[in-house]
Amino acid sequence: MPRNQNEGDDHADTATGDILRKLVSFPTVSGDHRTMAGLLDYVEGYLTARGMHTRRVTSDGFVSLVATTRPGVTRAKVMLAAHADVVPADPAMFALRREGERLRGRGVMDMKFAIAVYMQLVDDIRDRLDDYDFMIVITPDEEIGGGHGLAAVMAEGYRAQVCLLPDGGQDWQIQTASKGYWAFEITASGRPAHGSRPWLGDNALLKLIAVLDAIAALFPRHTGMDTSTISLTRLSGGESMNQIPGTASMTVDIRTIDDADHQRIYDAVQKLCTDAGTTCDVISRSLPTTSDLSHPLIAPYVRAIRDVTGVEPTGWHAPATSDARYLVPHDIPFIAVYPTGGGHHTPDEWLDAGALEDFHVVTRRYLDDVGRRHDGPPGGR
Amino acid sequence: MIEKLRILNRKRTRSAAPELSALKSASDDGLRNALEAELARLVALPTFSSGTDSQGSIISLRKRTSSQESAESIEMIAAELKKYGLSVTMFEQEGYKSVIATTRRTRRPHIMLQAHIDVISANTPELRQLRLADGKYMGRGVYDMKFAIACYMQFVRTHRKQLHRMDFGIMITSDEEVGGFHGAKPLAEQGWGGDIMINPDGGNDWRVESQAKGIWMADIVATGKSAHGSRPWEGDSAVDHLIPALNEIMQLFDNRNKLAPTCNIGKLSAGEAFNQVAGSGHAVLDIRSFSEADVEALELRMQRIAKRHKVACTIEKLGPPVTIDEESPLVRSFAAHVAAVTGKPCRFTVSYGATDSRWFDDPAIQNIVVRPHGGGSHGDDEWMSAEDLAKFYLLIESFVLDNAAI
Repeated sequence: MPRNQNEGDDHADTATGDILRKLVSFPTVSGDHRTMAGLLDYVEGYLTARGMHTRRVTSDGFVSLVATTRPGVTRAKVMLAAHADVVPADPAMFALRREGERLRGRGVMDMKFAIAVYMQLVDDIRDRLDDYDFMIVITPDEEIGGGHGLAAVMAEGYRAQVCLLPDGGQDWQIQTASKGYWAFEITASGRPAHGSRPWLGDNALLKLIAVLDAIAALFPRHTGMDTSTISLTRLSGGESMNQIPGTASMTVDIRTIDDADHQRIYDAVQKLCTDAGTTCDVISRSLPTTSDLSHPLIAPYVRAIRDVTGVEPTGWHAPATSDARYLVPHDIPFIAVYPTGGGHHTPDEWLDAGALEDFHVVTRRYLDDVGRRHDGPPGGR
Repeated sequence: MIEKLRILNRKRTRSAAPELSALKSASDDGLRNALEAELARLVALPTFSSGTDSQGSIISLRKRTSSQESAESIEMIAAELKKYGLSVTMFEQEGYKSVIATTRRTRRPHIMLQAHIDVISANTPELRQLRLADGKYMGRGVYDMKFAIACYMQFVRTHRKQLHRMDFGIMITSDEEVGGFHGAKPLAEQGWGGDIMINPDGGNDWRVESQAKGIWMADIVATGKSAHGSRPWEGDSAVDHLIPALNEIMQLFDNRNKLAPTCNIGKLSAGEAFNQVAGSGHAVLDIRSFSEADVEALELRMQRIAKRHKVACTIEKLGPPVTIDEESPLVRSFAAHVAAVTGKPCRFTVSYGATDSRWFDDPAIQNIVVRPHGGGSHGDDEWMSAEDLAKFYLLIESFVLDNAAI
């Protein structure tokens, strides 16, 4: 890989590293449409200058970028996907810096490293783009649910035979399962009265607490990667200390271990809420997902990891979901894998500098193996 | 008829009740018109308790600020009372103004007539003007409690030439609806009071409160460690501490028993983001009891529960239980005057709530809390009996004339 000589301390040694530095410098916190537009302008300009064909998909102010090797197509063999939004951070984190073999900054690991590699790959094969059949999808809202990013792109009809989405797994272990997800908002109504006369009122908070206790009893006491879990994340009720609250509400974050538990828990929570006279609204959801390492379109990536890094991918279970949930309804197999790094969502987010290049090499090999147009163009529009 | 009453009082001993002829003055058109005009003027004053901040915790309750209109109303009343030759003292704390006007230069007149001028918000324009319908005065503050101020002002106006022969005072504060921390409380601490204080802020339908529950506030705070909602085992949910603690604390109280200590969870909040384990939680409890000893015992048990569930529990007394001596001469005299005005024996009752009278918890002070027929306080239908407005005036007039003469 060509290496650029850069001055100063805050640089990565490679062209890919330079792209990553530029991407990290955009503080694309979820919902900041203006900054996201700047990043997308940069990425789009880079890709179109090298022969890719681009289009933007907009949903409720959120803009995604789709780049294809051929004009006007909505289908490809391989989808290279990544989200460009990040969680908030101290301003200093929006400048990439290198500490030994670690690259630090907001988004280096989650997940601008992937965008940098995708862009570098296009540069690598710019003279032979017609030989390949892939698309790059950059979305703006994964950290806040993805409902207007990848979901909107899929709604526009974009499809692929397989998707690389490096937003899961750990240390080259490919994610083979992720938990399902329910986020409920439960609201209880009572009868307000003066706090000195509790017998005249019906405290909505007490109702809510009773429902919470009943829901919590559906889950095992011991929690971990191998169990369904519940977290009460927000609870509020009452406006004045000397009044019986007439309304109270809470949100619960539930992760389910498999399809059966996913449905069982939903049904049980709905029944408990109905029996208690409370309302229960779903504010977010996703099904459990699985990936088969022996799938013919995933196995080549497994081989590439093994050959380049020496790591044998055996699978990894994720407690959380990602934008991959929007691929599942369309039966698109996906590869979710992080290279070496860590500290997602914390002040210590980092990516191994060598792993950045390894990811570049692995993905290039995969693209050569799976992403070529062996038998002519894919299914057209 | 007022002259007739006055004459009647000179011939009577202090403990005797006024004669039945005094009741006829309740229908005196002149009196009723004057009282109605005064009440209308007071209701139109926008003396709303400010403080849209509804944090509800002990600290934030005390940090609410006064409304400009309440302060100006106090100043207006002070100026009027001064015109009648009363000794007027202004008091201000945290922007809340109070006025105390006495016939003599003393902090402890024989009789102190007490009231608060602040009212809670009025949601509709209709509530901000006095209306008369079906024998009821309606509007924000008619019952809670500007009717009392109207009567006090009318009494001073009517008897302005004889005030120097009486020993009484009028105390009007502007923060009762937000706790009284900057009005009645510091005034009591500074020694203001009376041998008997009359506070028409409770005791509905002419029933005099013989007992009122004290009020305590408890802050329960839980501190945990937040984590991503998908990895609860990496965090320590504050809710897992707070809710079990609250469940156990509520088991200590029987809220169906009006005479027992009661506990209400008034406010509760925990967590920030819908996909994050709650790192902190906070509940505010409202405890009422007739017995301080009961609350002291409960507090010990609450602290043990708090310790077991690793939450912090802070309990503060906001006002002690209040009792009056029904057999004291002053109370008996008052009861006799109530009977004379209403035509029925005076009855006593207990109260589950608290008023500013709790700040004057002193064995030397008899706190009378009573008001006429009315209702709907804090609601959109606040009202009081139009006939009872005049009767209450006559009660005050006859009692003060009978007991405050020097």
